[in-house]
Amino acid sequence: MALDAKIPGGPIETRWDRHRFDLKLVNPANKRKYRIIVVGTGLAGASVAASLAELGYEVLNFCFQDSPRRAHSIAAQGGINAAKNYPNDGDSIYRLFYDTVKGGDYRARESNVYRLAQISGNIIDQCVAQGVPFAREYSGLLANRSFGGAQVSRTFYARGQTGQQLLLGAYSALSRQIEAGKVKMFPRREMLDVVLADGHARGIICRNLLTGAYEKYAAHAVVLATGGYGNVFFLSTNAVGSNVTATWRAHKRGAFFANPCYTQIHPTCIPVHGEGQSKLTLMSESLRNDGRVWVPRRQGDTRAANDIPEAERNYYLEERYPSFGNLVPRDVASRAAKKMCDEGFGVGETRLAVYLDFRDAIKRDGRATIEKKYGNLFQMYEKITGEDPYTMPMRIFPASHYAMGGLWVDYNLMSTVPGLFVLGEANFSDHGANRLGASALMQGLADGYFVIPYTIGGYLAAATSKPVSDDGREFGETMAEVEARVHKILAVNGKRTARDFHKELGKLLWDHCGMARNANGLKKALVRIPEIRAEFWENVRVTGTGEEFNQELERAGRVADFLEFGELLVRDALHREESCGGHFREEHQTPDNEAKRDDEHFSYAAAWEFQGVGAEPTLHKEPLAFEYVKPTQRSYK
Amino acid sequence: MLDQLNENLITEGKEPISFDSDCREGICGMCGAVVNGLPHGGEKGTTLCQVHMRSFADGSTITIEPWRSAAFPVIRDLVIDRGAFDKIIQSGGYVSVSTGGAQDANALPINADAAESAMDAAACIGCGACVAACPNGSAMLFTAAKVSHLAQLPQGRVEAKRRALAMVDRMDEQGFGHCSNHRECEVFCPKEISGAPHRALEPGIPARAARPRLVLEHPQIRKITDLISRPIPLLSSERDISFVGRGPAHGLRVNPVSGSFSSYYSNGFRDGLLVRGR
Repeated sequence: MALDAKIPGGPIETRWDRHRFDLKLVNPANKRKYRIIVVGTGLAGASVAASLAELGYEVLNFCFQDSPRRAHSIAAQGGINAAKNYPNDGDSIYRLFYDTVKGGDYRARESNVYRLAQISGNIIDQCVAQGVPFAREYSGLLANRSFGGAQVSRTFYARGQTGQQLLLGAYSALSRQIEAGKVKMFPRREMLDVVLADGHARGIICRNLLTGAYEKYAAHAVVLATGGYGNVFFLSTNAVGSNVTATWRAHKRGAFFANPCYTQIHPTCIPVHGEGQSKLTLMSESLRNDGRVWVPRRQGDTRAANDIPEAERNYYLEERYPSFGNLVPRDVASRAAKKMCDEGFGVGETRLAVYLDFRDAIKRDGRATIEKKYGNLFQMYEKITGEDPYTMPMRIFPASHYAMGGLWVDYNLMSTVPGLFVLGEANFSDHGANRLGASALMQGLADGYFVIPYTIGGYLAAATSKPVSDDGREFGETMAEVEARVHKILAVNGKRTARDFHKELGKLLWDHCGMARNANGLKKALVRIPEIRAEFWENVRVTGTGEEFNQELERAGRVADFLEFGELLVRDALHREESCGGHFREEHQTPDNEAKRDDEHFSYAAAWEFQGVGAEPTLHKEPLAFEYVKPTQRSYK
Repeated sequence: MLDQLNENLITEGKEPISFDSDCREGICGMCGAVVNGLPHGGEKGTTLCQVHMRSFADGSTITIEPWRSAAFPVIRDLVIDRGAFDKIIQSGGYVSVSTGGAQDANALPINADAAESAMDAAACIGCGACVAACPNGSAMLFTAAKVSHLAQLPQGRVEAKRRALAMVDRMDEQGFGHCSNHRECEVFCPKEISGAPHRALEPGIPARAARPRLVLEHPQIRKITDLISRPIPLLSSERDISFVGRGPAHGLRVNPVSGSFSSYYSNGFRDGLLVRGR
C-alpha cells in the first residue's frame, strides 16, 4: 500500500486555502444526519467535539476520567506559540514554520507545519473570545514571552497554567454544546477497540468503567484525540492514567503507527526518589538560565553538596559546551546528564541525578532577585523534595515528557483507516523528531478548532448519510474480541501486579531505548519485551471482576497494550540508523557528540503496519520533501 | 502511599482500595479525599496527590474518607461522582461563542489587574474540596469562581447575569447546600481561591472565624434565585439587602423590594453568597 499524504500542490502559502476550497462541503441541513465519535477530551478532543457540534453534527464524546476537564493537557505549564508578531520583533508565519521544521530536525511534513503556523494566530483570537485569562501588559494588550530558544517572543501564557486555562476554555465550549444537546458526553468510558465496516471506521467499543459493561457506539466517522504514549517508560511527566490503548487498538485494526521512536526527554525534572514513585514532575527549563549544572569530580562521592569544594565540582556542560554552557538544547542537556550518571558521578540517594545550583546566582544577584524569577518553581521543588533550593543545590534528572510519534495521518488528519481521524499528540504530524516548547498546545487546538471541522466534511460528503447502526456483524464480533481479552486478563490469576510489569517494561525501555540508544541495547530489549509480555499473560494478578468498577483491571489492560507497543518503539529505533531530534543512536554522532542525521537514507516518516503481536510489522515510507527549509546540521558549540 | 498500599494488598490477594488520581501534580483536580478529617489533608495550597508521608509522624494511624456530600455519590471506596460540577458549568459557565471568526485578540484590551483577578478565580481545578469542607455541602466557591472569572472580563460580562442565575439555579438543583458563610471552603481550596480583594481590607480576621450573618429563612424562599426573581415582602428597603457572589466580591446586588438585581463588583461587600442585613 502506497502512502498518500494528500498534500496539496502549489506554493506553500496557498495550499491550505486552496485545499479548503477543494474540499467538499456538507450541506448545513444534512450535518445533523452525521454522527461523529470523538475519543478524548484534551485540547484536541474537547475543541473538536465542541466545534463539530457547533457546525451541526451529532457528536458523541468519550473520556476515561470522571470529567472531560481532567485530560492531561491541563498540566502544560509554559505557554502556546502563535505567529502574531505583536512585539514587532520579526516574527511571521514563515518564521514559526521555519523554526518548527528546523526544531523537528527536518523530520516533519512541511505542508502540515506551514498550516499549523498559519492557524496559530486564530487560536489566540478564539481563546481570548472564550474568556481565557491570558497574561496582559498594563496597556491591556496581550503579553508575550520567549521560550525554548526561539529568537522572538511569540509565546502567550496564563501564569504557569496555560494548559489548564486553554483546556478549561475548550471544556467550556464543550459544556455549552452538551447543554444544547448536540454533544452527548460519556465520561468514565474507556475505548477498547475501533469497529470497521467495509474498511471504514464506523464505531467503537467501550468499557463502562463504572459498571464494567461493554458498550458499542456507531458513527459515520471516529476521531481519536487520546494523547501520547510517554508512559510506556512507566515514569514520565504524563498523568498516571495516560496510555496508548486507543491508538494501539486502532493500529491493530489497520492504522499505521508512525515514528514511535521520536520521544522527547525533558532535562529538568525532579528526579526519581524511590522505588514507590509513580510519576515525575517537570520544572520549567528556564531554571537553566541562572542555575549551574554540576556533578562531583569523584565517582560515588557521597558528601553533601555543600561540603564539596569548588575544585572538586565538575560543571560538565560549561566545560563541554563553552559557548552555550548550561543553555544547550533539551536533548543535549538530557544526554549529558545521563552520561554523567552512567559513569558513576550521579548524586542523591539513587545516584540518578545531577545538581542544578543557584549558589552563584544568589551570590551575584541576591536572593530577592532569584526569588522573583523562580520563586514558584523553588516552592514546587521544596514541596516535592522537602529540600530548600536556596541553601542547597536542586537535584534534577531528565524524564519522558512527550511523544512526537503517533498514528500516521494524511494532510486531512485521516489515518490509513478511512473515516478514522487522529488529532493532537496522538498523531505524528507536525513536530518531526523533536517538539519545540509551547507548540503542543498550539497543535492540539489547531487540529481541533480549525483543521478537522473542514477536512472531516470532505470525507463525510463522499460517504453515506444513511443512519448508522451498531447492529452489524462487525460490532458483535469486535465486542466479543474485546470481552475475550478482558476475560483472558482476569483468568490469569498469577502473582505479580500489573504495575510491577509496567515498571519492568519501563525500566528496560528507559535503559535501552531512552535518551541514548544503540543497536546492542535495542536488540536486547527486543528479546526481553516478548518475554515480559509472555510472563504477563501467565502471571499477572488482577483482583476483582470485570463486572464492576475495577481500576486494577483498567491498569492491566493498558499495561498489556504498552507491552505490545513497546516492541514497536524499539523496532523503530533500531531501524532508524541515524540520530535526529529525540532519537539519538550512539553509533551515529558527530565527533563532538551531536546528533548526526542521515538525510540520504532516512529522510522519511516510518509508518508501521501491524502484522500480529510479536510478528515483524511492515514498514511503509513516506518520503519527506524539503522545498522551503533546507536541512542543515545543528550545532551548539 | 496508596499505590504502595494497593500493591501490597494485591500481592496478599486482597482487594485494593479504589481512588481517583491522574496528573499527580495538583492541577487536574481528579484526586481528593478527607485525610484525618481535613480535605486534601489540610496542607495549605496542596492537593491530596502532593501530600507526602513525611508530613505524618512515624507509626501514626491515618484516616482517609471520600468527599461527603449529597451531590457527590460515592462510587467505590474513595471514588466519588462529581458529575454535578460538570452540570453546573454546562448551565452557563462559558462565553457563548462558537469557533471561528473571532476578532483579533488585541482588538479588545483588558485591564491587566482585571485579567489577573479573573485568573485567580479561573485557577479552580474542580476537585470538590470546597464542597467537602462546607458544613452545608455548598458548591458556592466552585460556582462563584467561574461566575467571577468570566464576569470580570469584557467577553464574559455580556452574559454575566444570565450566567450567574443559571449556575446558581443548577447548583441548587444538583443538591448542593446553601452558603452560610463559614468560609471553610477557602481554607481548604488547594488553589487558594478566596475573596482576597475584600479580605485584604480586614487584617487580623482569621479565615475561619465566625462571621456575623443573617441567614434568611422563609417558606417562600427555597432557592437563591427565588430571592432574585421576586420581591421579598418580609424585608423592607431600608435594610438594604446585599447579595454577592463568592470569590473576588463579584456577584449580584438585589433590591429586595423591586426584585431587581445588577451585576456587581466591588470591595464593599465582605461575605459570600448570602443575605445579610447592613
